[in-house]
Amino acid sequence: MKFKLLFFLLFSVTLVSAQKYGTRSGKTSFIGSEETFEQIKAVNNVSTAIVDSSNGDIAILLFVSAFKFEIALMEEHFNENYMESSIYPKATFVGNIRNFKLEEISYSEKDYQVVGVLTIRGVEKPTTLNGQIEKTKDGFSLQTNFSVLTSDFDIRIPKVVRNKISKEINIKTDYELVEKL
Amino acid sequence: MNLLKNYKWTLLIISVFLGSLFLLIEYAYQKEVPISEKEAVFTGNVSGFVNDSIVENSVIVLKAVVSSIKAKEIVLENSISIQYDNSENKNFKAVNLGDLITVKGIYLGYDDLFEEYKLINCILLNDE
Repeated sequence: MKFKLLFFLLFSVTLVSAQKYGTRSGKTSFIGSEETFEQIKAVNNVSTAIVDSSNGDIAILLFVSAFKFEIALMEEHFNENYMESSIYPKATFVGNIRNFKLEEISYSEKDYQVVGVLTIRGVEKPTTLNGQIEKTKDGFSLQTNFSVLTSDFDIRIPKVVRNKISKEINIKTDYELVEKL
Repeated sequence: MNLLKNYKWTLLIISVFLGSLFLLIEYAYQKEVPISEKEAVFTGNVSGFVNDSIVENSVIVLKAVVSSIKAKEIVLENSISIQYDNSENKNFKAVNLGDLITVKGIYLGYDDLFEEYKLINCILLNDE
């Protein structure tokens, strides 16, 4: 774990010194239930992401406690019971945007695969994200839409709410990356 | 007589149930206390903040010089990034590079990617 953390830090430092695009205010949202009376959904507007434009390496970091719910009680349960954000404050993704070439990005959206390791609650899982990249005024935008299983990250859901919370959580990211922050 | 007694009990149970339901809904839908009304656990400058062991998700008040501004992303003394809600757009729009500002916000934690501390939900208290 320590070695992986060191790798992660070295990776981020390397990215900082390379030609980089990044954001401190990326939007990450999820929906964790079916259409019910009160849908379980939240958004995090302070996700951090850095992309090394020379090779497509990408690192994403978000603070779990920064997810905002419409209902305060849901937010409390999310942090204290399910995600244990005081023990596991961060979720990360470290990987590579396959076949990424900065010069090929245009104002029309193009599909990419982002392959890497997603870490939630300290559990690492190899994950492939399907995303779209599009040129913007100051850089490019990266949008992904993918699903994860709660069981993959050791998220225990009590029986009493099991029919309200999906086993599969749909996650969307929307990051507008700009050059050299 | 028995019927009247049963009726009273039924009424009491329904009242308790409705009262509990009301309290539960009130609790679940309670509005978040605005940052301005929350008590800060730390007030000071950047070096004091860095050397203090402040618990994540605490409210702090920080006085520091603006070292970078890019759209809505403001960095203080190259070590603390601050972010604010749309309701604060007007106040932060007047902030310029080099200003000594005082902000109140929630300390989220240390961002390993940008190698800086992160404050969110910030409000501007003073701009010099």
